[in-house]
Amino acid sequence: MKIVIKNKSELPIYEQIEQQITAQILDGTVKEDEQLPSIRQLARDLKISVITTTRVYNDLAEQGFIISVAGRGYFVAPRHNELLHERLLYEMEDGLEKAVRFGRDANLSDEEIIAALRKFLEG
Amino acid sequence: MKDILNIMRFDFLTAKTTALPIFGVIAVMCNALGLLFSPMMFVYVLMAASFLIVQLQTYAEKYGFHKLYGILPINRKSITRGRFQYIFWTFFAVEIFELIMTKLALVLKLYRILPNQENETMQFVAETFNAESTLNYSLIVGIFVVMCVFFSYMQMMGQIFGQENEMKIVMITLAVITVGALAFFGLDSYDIIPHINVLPDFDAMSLAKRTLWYIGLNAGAFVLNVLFGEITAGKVSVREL
Amino acid sequence: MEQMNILEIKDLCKTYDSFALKDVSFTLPRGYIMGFVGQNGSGKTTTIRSILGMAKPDSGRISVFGLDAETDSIVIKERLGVVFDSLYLAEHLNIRQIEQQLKPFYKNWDSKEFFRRIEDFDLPDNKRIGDFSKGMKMKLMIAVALSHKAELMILDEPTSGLDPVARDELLDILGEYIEDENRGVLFSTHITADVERIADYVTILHNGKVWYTGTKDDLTESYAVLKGDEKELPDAVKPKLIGFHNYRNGFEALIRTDDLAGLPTSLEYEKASIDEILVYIAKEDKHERHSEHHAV
Repeated sequence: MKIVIKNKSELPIYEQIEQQITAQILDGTVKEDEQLPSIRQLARDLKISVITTTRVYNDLAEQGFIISVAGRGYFVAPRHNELLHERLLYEMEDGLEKAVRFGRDANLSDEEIIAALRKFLEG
Repeated sequence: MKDILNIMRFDFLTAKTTALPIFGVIAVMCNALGLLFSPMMFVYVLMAASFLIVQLQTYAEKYGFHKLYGILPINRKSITRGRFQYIFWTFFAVEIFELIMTKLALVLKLYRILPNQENETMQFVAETFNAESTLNYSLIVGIFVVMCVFFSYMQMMGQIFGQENEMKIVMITLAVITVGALAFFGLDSYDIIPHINVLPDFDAMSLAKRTLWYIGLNAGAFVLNVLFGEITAGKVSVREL
Repeated sequence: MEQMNILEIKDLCKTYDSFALKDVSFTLPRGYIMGFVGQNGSGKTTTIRSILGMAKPDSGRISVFGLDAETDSIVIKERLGVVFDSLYLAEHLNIRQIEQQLKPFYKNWDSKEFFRRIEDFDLPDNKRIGDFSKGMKMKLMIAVALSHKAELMILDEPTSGLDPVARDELLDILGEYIEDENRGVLFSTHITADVERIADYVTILHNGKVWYTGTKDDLTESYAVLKGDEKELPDAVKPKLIGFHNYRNGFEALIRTDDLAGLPTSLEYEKASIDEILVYIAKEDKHERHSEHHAV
């Protein structure tokens, strides 16, 4: 897991970390069931407050990206997890919506857009 | 008790690195000269021991030990008591050592290996090795008492009234003692007051009685040292650091 | 039972000729770092000296590890590590001699740990410690604190006069220290950048009084810097501004984020840093004095 904190960012530190961890879980850089560093370890590594990392893990657990196992720490939630599934669905729809909008802006017909999508599906 | 010992140890380690080598050189020199020429040289070792105390004082002032005293897990009074005990036992250790050296000098009579034994000066040297005389021992005990009481007193005054007033206190104390002594001997010599023997005639005493006197003088110095220490601890421990 | 709060200060008062601490209260829970900030002379050092029993409070109560700071001070100091802005040791000695001196005072002293730290910190053990740089002296004091297994570390302006590299090293050391959740750190400084990231809690002291105490996130989320043209500013908002200042191009002031609602969009605001908060508190002070002056 790689996290970079920008001090001059408009985003609060906890949001920066949350975004980076979710992105890495979604793109598979961080695998499911992988153990995450402990709250205090992460705070130490990033030189940030323990309260901040606690907040990050609480938020991520709430969103279903990670799960807390009593006495063992935090782990990346399994893929079939409902919340994660929903989130992926949302990301996909978001992307499709954008794709359609760009396509329309470029004066493509619906068929042309679907053809383009099919090309991606077939890889 | 353990705290007091720890502070004594701490104080000794503070003064040791710079004061001990200098004291050591003086001690070796004076002891060697004493063995050869006159046991009277041994009192200078006692005087040189004051270096171990003055040096400690200097460092404690210079390096702001008050902060350290604020964080050590130790009673504030123990810190003061430890300092006074350090003064007593430093002088006491040297006193005992020099008493043994005196005995050794009187037994060995090393002056006999010196050349020109018939020389007039040598007659004088030989005189100081007279085993009959108790003067050599009494001088060491006497100087010990003076040094120990004086430094304990100075420690008290310095800690209570501040080091910056130390020189003034030294001058006033010395002046009072000098005037007092002059007055006493002056009045005595004009027979205005009845003649008092300040110290008994040690030469006339049995060894047992003399030893008792010495122990008494040491105990007296110790009592004064503890008294000054307690007064200081009482005053200083309630202060802010 | 381990106490929840590693340090509790309640209604601490202390008056000196030219300065007074007034009803200082704050609490540091076990497992966290508290930044103790405020201008020079705001009372940080007097508070710390009171915790250590070096100053005698007029009233109030201080408890460390749930023990009374006055009556149990010796037990507390066994478990307390302190770093001052300057060294408190005999500077003509070297590290080996210092270790010899301090060792017998602490039941928990661990010589191996001490020398492991000294090596870690790259400190020479055979040189006069008086010749050390400021950063090295700070690390030596930390090594002393770590070697008797201090549970609470109190640092009084440890970074004043330190170069950025040494300050960064200190943050590293504190981060490592607090990995053990049974410990706590009280870190006084007027350089807020030091605490901006690692502190969990912040207490701001101003003129001997607590101006804020709580989590750092609450603090930085509760205040914003507002900028714009004074004419756009509703009169009702004006008294709520802190450290209001008019410049040629407009005004600047600190504002509680709760008071931002309903303000005209022509006024701009951005999150306030601890540093900015301190600056505006100080400005508010001058402003007050100024208006008092006018009233006379």
